[in-house]
Amino acid sequence: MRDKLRKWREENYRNSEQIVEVGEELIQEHASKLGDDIWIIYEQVMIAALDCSRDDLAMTCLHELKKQFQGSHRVKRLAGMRLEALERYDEALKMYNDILQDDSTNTAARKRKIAILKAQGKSTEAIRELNEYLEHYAKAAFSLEELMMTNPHNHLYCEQYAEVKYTQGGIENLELSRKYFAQALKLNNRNMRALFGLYLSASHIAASPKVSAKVKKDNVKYAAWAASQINRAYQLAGHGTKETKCSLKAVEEMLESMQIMPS
Amino acid sequence: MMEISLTLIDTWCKENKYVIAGYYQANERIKETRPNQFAEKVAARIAENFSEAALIMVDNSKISMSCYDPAISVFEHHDNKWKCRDASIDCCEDWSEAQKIMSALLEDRSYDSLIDFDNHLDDLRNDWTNPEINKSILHLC
Repeated sequence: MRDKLRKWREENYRNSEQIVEVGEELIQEHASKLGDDIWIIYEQVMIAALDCSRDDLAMTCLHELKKQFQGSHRVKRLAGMRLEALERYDEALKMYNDILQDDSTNTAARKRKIAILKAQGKSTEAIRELNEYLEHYAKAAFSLEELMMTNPHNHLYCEQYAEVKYTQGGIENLELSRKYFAQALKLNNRNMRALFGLYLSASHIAASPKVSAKVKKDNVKYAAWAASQINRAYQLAGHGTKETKCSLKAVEEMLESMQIMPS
Repeated sequence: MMEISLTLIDTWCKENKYVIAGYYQANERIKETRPNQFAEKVAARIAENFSEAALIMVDNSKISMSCYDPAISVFEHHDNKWKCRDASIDCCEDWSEAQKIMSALLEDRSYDSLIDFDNHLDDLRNDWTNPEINKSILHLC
């Protein structure tokens, strides 16, 4: 059970119902055997309890953490999160402002403040706070570009960046997006979003009247390659059942229907 | 990926004699039950291919094991705008039947195995047509 909780912690899963089930039993029956792990488990279970409206369990965890770590900012943030869950936003805000007065670089508290504004539907204020937060750390890894530089092996950042570029539109952004989709695929050749993204961006570039014949030709090739890879991926995933035969055909037809033939 | 998902689902529908008849959305904030721009755009796209398309907003504050009042509002496309259908008019064929089935699914935690298109993109073997859940629903009818 301990290992399950650890795995979920490390992989940032938000399967709160399961965490509560496993964690509650662990805390109630085996607390003495957990050693120092118990504190991080209390934290993990408390957050999950808030997700599941289990204030009773959340209070138990918070109580133990408060006893053990008096005056801790980390625990104060958890107390704030509980107040947020109870929709006592003003009290929660006070907690976070207290933390920030003591330590203005506390990103967790800043993040919670933005979450409160979002929960209250105050999007303009949330965006303003978010911009302040980003300015404060403008140089640090808080934009996708920085994330990619510091995590060059992370195919997800590449793919997300590509999607942003794709949405922005225009030939330059489409070409950039195609390149980043391709890069994401190099890092992980099973990333389906990157594959579809490559297909779409290349197809759109090929269909544009603004590009040269050579660019058109190249992008038709990229799109065709992507299409064949997509078909192959679906074939590999299928087990030959009736349903998957249908979806294979659907994929082929979809690719055909989206094929933007160069004029 | 919305482009991809709509096209793929549409192709599958034609193969299987279905039609995309609408779009439902449940907002992140419980108190927000109106459709946002995104919902309206998607529903409008669907309405291009199916004139009687419905845009359904889920009211999560009303969902419980025994909700007697329908937890959804249905919006229809009139004059390029999405207007809410009168709540006093029945929105479903049989809400109490639907509610019974929903409670049974909730109790069984069927939502743990529910696959959406995003899950499908994570792993192609995840079947967004959810055959197992659909079978359970037929059983419960």
